[in-house]
Amino acid sequence: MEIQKELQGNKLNISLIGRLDAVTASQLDKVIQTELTGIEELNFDFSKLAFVASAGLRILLVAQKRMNKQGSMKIHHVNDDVMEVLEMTGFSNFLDIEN
Amino acid sequence: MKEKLILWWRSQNNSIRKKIFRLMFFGSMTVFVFLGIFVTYGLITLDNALTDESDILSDTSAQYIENVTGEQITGRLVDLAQSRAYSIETELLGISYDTIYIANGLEEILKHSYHFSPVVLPDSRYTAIRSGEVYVHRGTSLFLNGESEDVRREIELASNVVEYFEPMVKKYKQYESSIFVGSRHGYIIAVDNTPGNEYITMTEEFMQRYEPTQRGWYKNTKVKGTLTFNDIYVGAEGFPSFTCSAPYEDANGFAGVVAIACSVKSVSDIVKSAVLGDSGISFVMNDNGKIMLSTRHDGILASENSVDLRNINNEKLAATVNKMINGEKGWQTVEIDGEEWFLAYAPLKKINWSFGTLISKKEAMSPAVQAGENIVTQINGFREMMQNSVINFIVVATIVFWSLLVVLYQICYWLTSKFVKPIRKLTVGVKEISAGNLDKKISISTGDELETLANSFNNMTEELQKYMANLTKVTTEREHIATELAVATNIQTSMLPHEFPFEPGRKEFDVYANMHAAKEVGGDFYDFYMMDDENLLITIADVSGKGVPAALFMVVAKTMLKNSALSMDYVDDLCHLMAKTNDQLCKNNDAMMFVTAFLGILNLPTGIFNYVNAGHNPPLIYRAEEKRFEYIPVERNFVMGGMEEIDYKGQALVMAKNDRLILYTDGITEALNEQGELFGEERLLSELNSIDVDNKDSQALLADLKERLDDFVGNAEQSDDMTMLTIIYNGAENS
Repeated sequence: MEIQKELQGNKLNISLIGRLDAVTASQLDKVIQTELTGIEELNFDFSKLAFVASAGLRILLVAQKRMNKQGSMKIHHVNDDVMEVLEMTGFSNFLDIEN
Repeated sequence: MKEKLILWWRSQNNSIRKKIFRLMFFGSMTVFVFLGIFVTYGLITLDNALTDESDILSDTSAQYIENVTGEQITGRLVDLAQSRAYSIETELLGISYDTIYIANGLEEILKHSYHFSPVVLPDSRYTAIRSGEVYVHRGTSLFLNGESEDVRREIELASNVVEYFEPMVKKYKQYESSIFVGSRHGYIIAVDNTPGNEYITMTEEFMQRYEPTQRGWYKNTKVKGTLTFNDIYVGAEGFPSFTCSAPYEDANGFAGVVAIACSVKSVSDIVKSAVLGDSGISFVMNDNGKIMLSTRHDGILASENSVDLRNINNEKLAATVNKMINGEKGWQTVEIDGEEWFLAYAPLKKINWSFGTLISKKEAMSPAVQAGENIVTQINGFREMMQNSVINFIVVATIVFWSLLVVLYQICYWLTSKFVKPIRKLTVGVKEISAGNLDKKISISTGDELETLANSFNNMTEELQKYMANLTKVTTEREHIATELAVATNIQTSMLPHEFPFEPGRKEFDVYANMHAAKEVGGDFYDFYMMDDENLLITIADVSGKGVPAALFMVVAKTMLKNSALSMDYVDDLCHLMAKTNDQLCKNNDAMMFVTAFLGILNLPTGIFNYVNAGHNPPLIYRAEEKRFEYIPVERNFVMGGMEEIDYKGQALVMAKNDRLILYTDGITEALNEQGELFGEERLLSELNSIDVDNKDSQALLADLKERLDDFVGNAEQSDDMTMLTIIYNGAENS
């Protein structure tokens, strides 16, 4: 998986390309753990994300909880496969998803 | 054959030492050989060039010397001929002037007779005549016939000529000479100089038969009527003499001839002085091609030979004689008696004679020839010396070459050994290292790449030692962890119900489940247990992530779920159970782990199945009546452990006899094949529908499904835990 980051002041845009599975989730985890300091607006672009596994969902959960404290988080352009997982697991109920 | 050669060459090529040695040795040798060939070739070329050049050089220089010498000699010869011709001419002209002087004096006397008294001179017939004494001699016919008075008077008158004779007598005193007047009347008035003899010897011939008017000089002069140079003849005195004569006249015209006969000794001295070398010849030739005087007394150039040289059978000589008679000056090579001569000539212009001098070409050229031969000898000597030098050089060079070859061999051997020694040392060291002695240190100090290589080897062994120590440590740790993980796997497996058939006494259902963890320990789990006599609870769950963290969280989740379930007041209060357990899981969950779970309670008497889905994959139900699987509808409840205070919505369905439920985790639907394709929910459904379900028990059904899944995945690596659970409802026990 490839992670593209774009920092605009206190706004961080992250594009995920490929598969967010158990193996690649740690990459995103590292970004969430180290680069969210002072970020008030976190945007994910899922337009090129093909798949998300439960490990990936955990990272999204961590990110959401972190952003609940210091700002807001939005997920953009979620495709059908990924949306199905988000819906099945109930994540779609509390993640701010904007297509 | 070629292959054998190559094999042989390779077998010979088996060490760097040999290779370097060959390279050095043959390289140096090649340079030597080429140098040798070049030098030898150069020397031979030089020698050949020298041989050719020396031939040309000796020929041309000898020729040059001959030419130069020839020119010098002929030049000298012509100069000599010229100067001698002048000398002879001067000598002869002096006599001619004297002759004319006397002739003029006598004419004066005869024409002016009244001025002169008669003079009586001694008569040679009656008186002994001294040398230098003027006398009168009557010719034979005059003496015998007697003279007239007129003739007697004329003799006495003419005798006054003695006054003119006096200075001449003194002048010619030291030569054999005669001064005389020959009258047409047949008498002569004469004076003879005979140095060494006091008296003149009168020969018998002179006394008895002498007739002046019959003599050649008289006749010639009379005919010619002017000054005449007569041929050399043997005079009355008996020695060869040269006579210059001139006519004189009296009142009646031609009266006689005045002549001075002079021994040609003076001229012949001059002629002799012109002779060059041992073989030289000098001669005077008259205008008729006859030799007058010669240093040679035999052959065609002798004065005794009276042939006309213009007519001789020697074309070249005859042609030259013609040139001489024409008054030319020059030189010519002529052949006389089979020998070559240089002939130089110059004219005696006043008397139309010519002077010639010859020198044998052989003799003249002998210094030149000798010089030429000398040069040839010297050049040949030089060439021989050169050839000897070349041969010596080649011999010495060959000896030096072989000596050098030996030295070169030794040097190359030594250098190669020196060069290869550290490589050998390195090889031995590396062999020792490769045999396992990592403490071995290779010590090479050549200051080049070999030293660097040896140092690299030393560093490598050090690193290897460190690495091996580290590896041992890590391996030990790994083994430790592996042991622990094996124990953990064991524990995890034993935590899941693993004794089948479950509750063999109950005929209402048949349940079977299994889990294939992607790692030693997994995050998936399943569970089933009887809550009471009538209710069977089944669980399938998937903890986010894998491995030890997921396994730990799974243990927590499973324990909590079972604890909560077993302490439930109402068996159908599943939603409350879920919410309660969720809240418990959320506490102290700093790692933000969560678990998707599906819980269901089957009421065995009725077949009613209450269930709650917390973010898990929807299970499938096999309706025996319809003989096909379908996904059961599930609420999109949130996962457990992710967020507190979540309300879970429960659902229910009724299972008929022989209906089956299949529960699974996302490890099944998200299994990837080698092409990276998902197994997917649709494929799961269609695969299940293609199974002959009715004749299979729960274990066989799952085994079949697993087989199909394995076929799909092929050799692709399992990326997630795979868990499956199936339950077959056989209807109420009593029905």
